[in-house]
Amino acid sequence: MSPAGDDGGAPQDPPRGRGPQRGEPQRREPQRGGTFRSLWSALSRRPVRRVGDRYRIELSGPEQALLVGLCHQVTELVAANDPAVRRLFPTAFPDDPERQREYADLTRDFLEEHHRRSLTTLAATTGKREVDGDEIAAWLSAINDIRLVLGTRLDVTDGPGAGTRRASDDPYAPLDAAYNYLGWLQAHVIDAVAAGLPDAGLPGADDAAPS
Amino acid sequence: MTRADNQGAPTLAPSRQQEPTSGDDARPDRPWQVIVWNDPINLMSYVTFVFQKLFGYSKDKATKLMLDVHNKGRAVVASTGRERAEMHVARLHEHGLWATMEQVG
Repeated sequence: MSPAGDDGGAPQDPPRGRGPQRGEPQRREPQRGGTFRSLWSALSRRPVRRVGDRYRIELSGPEQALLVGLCHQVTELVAANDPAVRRLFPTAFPDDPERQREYADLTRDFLEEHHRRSLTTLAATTGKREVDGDEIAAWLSAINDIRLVLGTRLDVTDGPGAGTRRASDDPYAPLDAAYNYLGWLQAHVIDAVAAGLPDAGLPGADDAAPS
Repeated sequence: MTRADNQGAPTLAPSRQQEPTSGDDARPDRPWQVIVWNDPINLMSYVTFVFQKLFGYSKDKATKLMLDVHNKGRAVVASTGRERAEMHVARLHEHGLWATMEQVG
């Protein structure tokens, strides 16, 4: 797993630079106005915040365009059953081909429809000022789907050096930047959505996993 | 947010429930374990969130399971009957987690 959305930092473009990291000394907000102020607000901004039972969205034009483009690409790959989206349809029974076939027959349409619907919702709502609970759930799902596809393509691995920046002349650099941007955005969406979950869990949570 | 997201599940469950529930497995009495495997892409906070959302686990329990997945490579996140286990696996797959299931014993 990847430690946190901000571990790789925000990508260079968009948004520029990375926000202040926990543990780092608090930087004082620049006193000068203009460029400094707008730069500071870009660094420390939260793209998604929970307001009551809705979510306020603040994405720049380039961010919206990036998300919409990625949603369309992944939707096409899903529709074409491209090997690049295999990670979106995992194997439930790795040691039992017959059961796996049954499982895939049973779930393929349902999973495909879920991915398609989430990606469509994200693409249609990136420019909205506010989204509701169902829409933000679709955002989370779609962003994760895109990260899975990009991460697989980029051959992301665990451990030291994972997710390190590529040289700007590396042909995969744009994908890498998009991947890191999505991690940053997803971490913010998770923060906003998880704030609505009860810490104590739900009464009657069954199927207790061994603890 | 509570379990308001279970709109996807019914499409799975009904076709299963119409099948005979006995005689299907060699050892029908043994529970099935739902296992989540570590992967390098999913964010740790996302995995914790999914465990809380799908299973109703507390944040502490969901975090512990997530860390088990991260540190040990896999964790049993539920132990239940086959149909229910299959539904859990499908919902985990829906959320992009790498889940499998196997019968105990």
